[in-house]
Amino acid sequence: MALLSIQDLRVDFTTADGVIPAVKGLNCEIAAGECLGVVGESGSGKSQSFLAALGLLADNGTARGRVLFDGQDLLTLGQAEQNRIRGNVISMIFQDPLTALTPHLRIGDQMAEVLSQHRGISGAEAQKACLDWLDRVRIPEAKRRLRQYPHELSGGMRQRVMVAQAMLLSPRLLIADEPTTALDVTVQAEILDLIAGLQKEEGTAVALITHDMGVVARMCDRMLVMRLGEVVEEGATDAIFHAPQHDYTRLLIDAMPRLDRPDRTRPLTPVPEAAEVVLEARDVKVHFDMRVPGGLFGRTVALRAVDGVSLTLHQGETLGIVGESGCGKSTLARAVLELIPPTHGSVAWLGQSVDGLSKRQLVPRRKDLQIVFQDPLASLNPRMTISASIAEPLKTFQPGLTSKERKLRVVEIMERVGLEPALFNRYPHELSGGQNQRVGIARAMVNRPRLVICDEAVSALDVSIQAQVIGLLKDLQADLGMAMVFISHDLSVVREISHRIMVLYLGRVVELADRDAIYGAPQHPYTKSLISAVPIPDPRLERTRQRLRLPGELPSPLDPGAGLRFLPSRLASGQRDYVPRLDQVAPGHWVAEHDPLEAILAAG
Amino acid sequence: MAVTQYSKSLEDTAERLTERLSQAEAIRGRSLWFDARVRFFGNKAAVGALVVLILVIAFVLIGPSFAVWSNEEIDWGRMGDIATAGRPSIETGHYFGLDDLGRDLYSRTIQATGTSLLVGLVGAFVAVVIGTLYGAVSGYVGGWVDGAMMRAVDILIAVPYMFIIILLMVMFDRSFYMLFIGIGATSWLAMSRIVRGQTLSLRHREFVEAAQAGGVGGFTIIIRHILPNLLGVVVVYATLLVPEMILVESFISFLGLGVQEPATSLGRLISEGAGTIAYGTIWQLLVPLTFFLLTIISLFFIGDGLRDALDPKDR
Repeated sequence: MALLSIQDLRVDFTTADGVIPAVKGLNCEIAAGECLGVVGESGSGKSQSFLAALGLLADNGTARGRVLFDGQDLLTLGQAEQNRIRGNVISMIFQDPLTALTPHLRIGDQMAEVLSQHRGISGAEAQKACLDWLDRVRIPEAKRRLRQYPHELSGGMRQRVMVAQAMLLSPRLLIADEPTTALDVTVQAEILDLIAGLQKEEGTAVALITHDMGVVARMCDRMLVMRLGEVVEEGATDAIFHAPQHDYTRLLIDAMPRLDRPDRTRPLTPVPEAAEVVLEARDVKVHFDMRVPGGLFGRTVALRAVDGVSLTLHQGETLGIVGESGCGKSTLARAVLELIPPTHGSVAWLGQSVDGLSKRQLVPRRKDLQIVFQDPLASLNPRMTISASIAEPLKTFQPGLTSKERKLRVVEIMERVGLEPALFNRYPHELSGGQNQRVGIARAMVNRPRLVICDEAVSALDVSIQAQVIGLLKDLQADLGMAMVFISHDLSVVREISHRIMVLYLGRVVELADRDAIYGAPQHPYTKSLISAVPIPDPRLERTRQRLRLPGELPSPLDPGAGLRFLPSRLASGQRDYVPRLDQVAPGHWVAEHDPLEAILAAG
Repeated sequence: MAVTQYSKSLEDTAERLTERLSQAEAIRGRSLWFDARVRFFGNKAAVGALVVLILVIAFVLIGPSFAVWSNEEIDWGRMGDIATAGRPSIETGHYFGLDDLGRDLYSRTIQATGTSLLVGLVGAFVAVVIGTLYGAVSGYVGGWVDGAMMRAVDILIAVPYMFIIILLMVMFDRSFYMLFIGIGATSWLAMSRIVRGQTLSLRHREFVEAAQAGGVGGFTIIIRHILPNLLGVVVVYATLLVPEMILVESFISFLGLGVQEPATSLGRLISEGAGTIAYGTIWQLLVPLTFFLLTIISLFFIGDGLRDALDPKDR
C-alpha cells in the first residue's frame, strides 16, 4: 500500500483578482522507500500541492480533496494533530537553507527543538542524537557546529543541517522542495548523494520537488510532470525520459542544455578573422578590506575577490566565465566595467586604456559596454514603465532624439527581443520573469553596444525560458556582432553560448580554453570535478556516471591556504603565497599549475 | 562586407520605422504621474478627503464675503452675556457665535484656519523638499560625505528646536515669515534621516547599478531612480508633518512668540475654547476643533491615497 496517497487535490487562492486555482486535481502515490520526482516550472503548483498536504498553505489558500498518509486523511486533521505529524513522520527540506533556519538560534538548539517537541527528549540525550545525525550527514567538526549560528556555516553545510534536522526523528516521508537549487553544482552533487543514501539506509520515502530534469534523472524512480496546476505526465523516470508522451515533457527535456550531447547545441556564429579587440584586461585584481575579530579593534584582512585575471575579448566573440559562488566572477565583470575600481591591473575598452579615468570621463565610453543582470525584476526600477527603462540609455547617450524618435527606437528594440509593443506601458511586476529579462536585454541593446556582459542572466529563469533567452542572445550576436561575456555557475548553459570558456577558482583562472577543448578534454582537476558534478538529464547515463569528488568544502576566499588547494606540495613546503603559473598546454588552452590528482585527493 | 550589411540593416530599419510610425502613434506613453493620477482618482476615500480639504480651503477664501463682523470687532452689546446672547445664530450675524472677548468666531475661525493651513503646508513642504534632497544625496553619495552630512543633522537635532525658534523670534522681528523660517529650518531634520535610511537600501539595488552601468549621472539617478521609490515614505511622513507643524505653531503662539493678536490660529482658538469650557460656551471649542480635525483627517487620507497611487504594485 502506498505511504502517501493524494487524491484529487485542489488548491485555490483567493486574491483581490478573484479565486485563482493553483492545483487542479492532483493524484499521486508514494510508496515506502521510493523517490518520486515532481517536476515543473514556476507556477506549476508543484510546491503548493505538498505544502497543502502538510497544512502549510498561506492564509488565503484552501485545499480540497484527500491526502491519505497511512490511511489517515491529513486535510481533515486539526492544528494540533497536524503539528504532531509535521517534523515527526513527515518532514520537509526547503530551498533556501539560510531563511529556513532561525538566525538567532544555535544549530544545536535548533535541532533539539524538534526532539523536545515530538519526543520530549532534551539535554545531553538530545545533544547526542543531534551530534549523531550531524556526523551522518558528514559535517566536519560536528561538535563545534552545535554551538554555531546558521550564518557561520556555508550554504552547503546549512543545507546538510536542514537534512539532519529533517531526519532526526527518522520520518517515513521526506519532502524536499528544490533542496539544491540555491547551491553550487559540486555541493548539489553531495547533498543529492546524501539524500539518496538516507533513502536507501532508512527506507524513507522522498518526494523531490524540482525544476531540474538532471536532478530527477539522478535521483528518482518515478516522476510526474506538472504544468499550470495539472499533471501532464506520470510514470517511471526511464520511460518518461526516453519516450516522453506529452509535448510539454518533450519541451522540458529538449530545453535542458546537455553536457553529454554537444551535437544538440545550435552552432555559434564564428568569430571573424582578425577581429578587433573589444576588451582587454591585464592582471586585474580586486581586493576588499574585511574586518575580522582579533586584537583590540579587530584587524583588516584583504579579501582577494579577483586575484590577477587577464582576458582578451574580440568583436563577435563570447567568453563564458564559470565558477562556484565566491569565485569572483561577478566582481570581475564589474571590475572590467569599472563599476568597482580594480585594485591593480589595467583595463582597455575598444583598444583605449581606461585606467585612472574619473567616473565622469568614463560616462561617454559606457555607451558601448552594457550589462544584463541576474534578477530581472530587481534590475528594473519598479516605478518606471518598461519602455521608460529601455529608453533610459537613449536619453543618456542620444539626448538629441525627439520623444517620438525615442519611442520608435524603443518599440523597435522591444520587437527585436520578442516583446509585444502592447506591453509598452507595463510595469516590471506585471510581467513574467522571462519578459522582464527581455526588457533588461532590450535596455542593454538599445544603443547597439560593442560588448554586453551577462551576469547570470538566465539563472533565475525556467528552463524553457532559459533556452529562449539564450537563443535570443545568440541571434542578437549574429545580427549585431557584439562581443559578450557570459557569466554563469551553470556549465551546461555556458557551453550553449560561449566560444571560449574561463574557469575561475577563488579569484584566479584555473583553465581557459575553447569550449570543445574544455568540455572534451578538461585538464585541471577543478574543471573536471565541476563538469562531473553537473547532472545529465538521462537516467540511464546519469546512474552509471563516475563522479570526481574533491575532498573538503568549498573554501572561503579569506582562508590564506585555500588558493593552493590544487598544489598541496607547495603548501606542504610552506610556500603559502605561491601563485600558480598558467601553462599553455595546447594553442589557446591554458591550465593553471597543479599537482597530480592523486596527490590532491590524498591531501584532502 | 560588414559595412554593406550595416547600411542594409539601416535601410531596413528606416523602412520598418515608417511602417511602425502609425502603430507607435497608437501607443501613448504613460508616466508614473499619469498612472498615479488615475489610481488616485479611483480611490474613493482619498477623493472624498480631497473634496473636504478643498471645501475647507474654499471656506477660508470665500468665507469672508459672507461675514457680518470682522475678526477684530468686539460686539459690545453681547459681550456681557456670551453664554446665552453669544450663541451661534444666523440673525445676529455670529454664525459660529462669539469668542470669550465678544469677537465674532466665524471671522476668527476663517482667519485661524488660513493661518494654520499656511503654516502646516508651507512648513511640511519646506521639510519635505530640503529633507528629501539632503537625505537622498547623503545616502546616495555615501562615504565621508554621508558621515559629515549626517553628523551635521545630529548636531542640529541635539539642539532643542523650540530654542532655535524662540531665538530666531527674539533676535529678528516676530513676523509671520520668521515663523516659517524657524519651523522650516528645524522640521526637515527627521525627514532627512528617514530618507537617507531608505536611500541606503535602494542604492545597492540592481536597477541603480544598471543605471550606473548605463552611464546615467549621479544627480539624474537620484531624481529618476531613487526619489520615485522613496515617495511612499515621504508622502506618508509629510502628511504626519502637517498636523505637527500646526501644533508647533500653536505652542509657539501660546508662548506669545507666534501669531500675534488680533491674528490667530486654530491651535490658539482651541486652547482658548478649552479654557472656557466650564462657562457653557462649548461652541468656542467645537468650531475650531471641527476645522482642525477635518483638515488633519483629510490630509491623512490624501496621504494614504497618494502613497497607494504612487506605488504601481498596489492595484
